[in-house]
Amino acid sequence: MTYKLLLLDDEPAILSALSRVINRIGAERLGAPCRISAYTDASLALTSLQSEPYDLVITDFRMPAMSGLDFLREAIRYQPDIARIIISGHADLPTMVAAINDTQVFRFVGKPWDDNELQLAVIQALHVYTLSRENQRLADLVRVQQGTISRQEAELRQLESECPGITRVERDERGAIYLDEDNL
Amino acid sequence: MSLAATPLDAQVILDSLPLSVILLDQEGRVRHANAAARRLASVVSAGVTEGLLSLVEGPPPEVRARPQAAGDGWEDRRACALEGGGSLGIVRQWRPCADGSELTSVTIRPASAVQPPGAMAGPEQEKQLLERQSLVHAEKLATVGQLAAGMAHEINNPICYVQSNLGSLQDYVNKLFGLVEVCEEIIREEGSTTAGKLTTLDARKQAIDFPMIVEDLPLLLAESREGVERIRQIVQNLRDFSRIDATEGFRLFDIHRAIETTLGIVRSLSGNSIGFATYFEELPLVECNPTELNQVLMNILVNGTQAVGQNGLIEIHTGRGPHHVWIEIKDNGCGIEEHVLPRIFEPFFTTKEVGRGTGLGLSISYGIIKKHGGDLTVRSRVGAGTVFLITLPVKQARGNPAFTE
Ligand SMILES: Nc1ncnc2c1ncn2[C@@H]1O[C@H](COP(=O)(O)OP(=O)(O)OP(=O)(O)O)[C@@H](O)[C@H]1O
Ligand SMILES: [Mg+2]
Repeated sequence: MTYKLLLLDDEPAILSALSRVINRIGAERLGAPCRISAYTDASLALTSLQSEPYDLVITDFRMPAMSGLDFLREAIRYQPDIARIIISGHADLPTMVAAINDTQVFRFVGKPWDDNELQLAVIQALHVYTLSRENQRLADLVRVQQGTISRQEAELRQLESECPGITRVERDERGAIYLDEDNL
Repeated sequence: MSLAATPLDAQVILDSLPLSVILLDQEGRVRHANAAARRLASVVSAGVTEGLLSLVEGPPPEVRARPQAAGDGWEDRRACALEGGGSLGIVRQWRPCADGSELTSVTIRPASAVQPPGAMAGPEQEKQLLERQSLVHAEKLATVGQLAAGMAHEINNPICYVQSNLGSLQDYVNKLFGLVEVCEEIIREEGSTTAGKLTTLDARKQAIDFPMIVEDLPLLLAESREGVERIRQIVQNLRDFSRIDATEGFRLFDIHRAIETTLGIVRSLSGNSIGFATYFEELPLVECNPTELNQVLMNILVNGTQAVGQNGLIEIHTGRGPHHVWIEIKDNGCGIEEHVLPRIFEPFFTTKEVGRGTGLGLSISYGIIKKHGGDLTVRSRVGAGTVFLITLPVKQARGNPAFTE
């Protein structure tokens, strides 16, 4: 297993610095190796979120094109149980409240961040994420046994969490399947 | 002197004089004040008569300095506070006349304030001038606050990654030191073959991800240096912009440098969403007050950034005539409505919401450019954009009271 992380910040040098800090955590402490995809452009990051499953997304708060909050709102439409961390230079109270209420962000990390604190936040976020996904799987298993949902539905949920979007196949009125060539 | 004989003529003549003339009766009450005196008095106090009295009113005769010699008269000097702040220096003299009465004359020195050329101590202008000076001060404070917030944000990003990179660098260096120690151990190890030593070394290199460090370390250093350079540039811009010697006067200055400095700051305040382009022609050094010129450019550029939306573009063109240079600042923003256009140079005129605009930017800028003997004009079309044109004489006229070498 490999953890997949998505980073978003309008500043490339910040992305490099963040990647270094996260890579320094090491597979032993993280429980698995991790792979980082870094984006400076929010819309490209969203495109990737539509097809690639991620475990954790870390985004800057203040970006010129799209705020970190708006980005997360979009992101969780594609991957509802992705773990999320916001990095912000000036997290005022209304912002934090909005972030917590609207996007259930896991952690706020200040800018400049403390390397240890950031590493800890990443480790915890991934553990919590893994746990909740495991819980979900077990709960579905129980529901299948109790007959609340079908085995097929449970399979679908599992599939969806591994390949976002795959279960939401679009059909036209004659039942033909739309294939989004970008996602192939 | 028989004023009473031809009262009208005398009054007309007195009123046309640039000098203030005040006639007092025996009790020291104001009998007549010409137009200049009345204007002057209104600067000192809103009630004209009180103003006049406060100017010429003297201490009782017994406390006046004794005359040095007969016929010399008396004299005293004092400062008179103006209602709008600031002060005038007043010299009063009393001369004994042949008939035993006294002739009082009052000399008023202009306040030490700088005066714009052309605008002489006429009271209106004087009042405006004083007002403007305190406004300049208020505006400076406002700009400093705005700057501080922008700068803090702008400097924060490079600090973030430079600081974090130093942490990563320390980690890499520790690993490399460790590797050197391992090398030493391996070399000293007796009884192992070269191949065996290499295997041990390879294992160790793999453990610290040696190829990654080799690849990443130069990038880390390059990015960090770039970050520090950015911080240096911001600080340099700030320094250039608000030279500590605020009382700095006129000197020969490179207009393009003023533009670059101010642009550097405005750029960082406005994020990446606005495009800036400069089209410079070769210009001579211009005799100006660089701090004030920066302030004018700042005000106009900030207005521009506030006026443009998506795809905002601000262009700065420069050029020269035989005795002057011009700077054109052009934006593709919302433009200014025709009925608003004549008012934009008025102090406190703003169309911006509370907290965003004080309405002082352009009036202060206008004052500064006029003080330089130049001109500031505007053209605008709603929906198309706005163009501000600054013209400045290359050399200051020697008679300009604001200009001291
Ligand atoms: N480039 C521009 N485009 C459109 N309108 C402008 C532009 N420059 C100035 N204005 C108009 O002129 C008004 C006066 O400008 P001025 O700079 O004096 O004050 P302000 O920008 O409102 O406030 P301040 O500069 O004190 O923060 C503005 O409120 C705005 O309506
Ligand atoms: Mg303004």
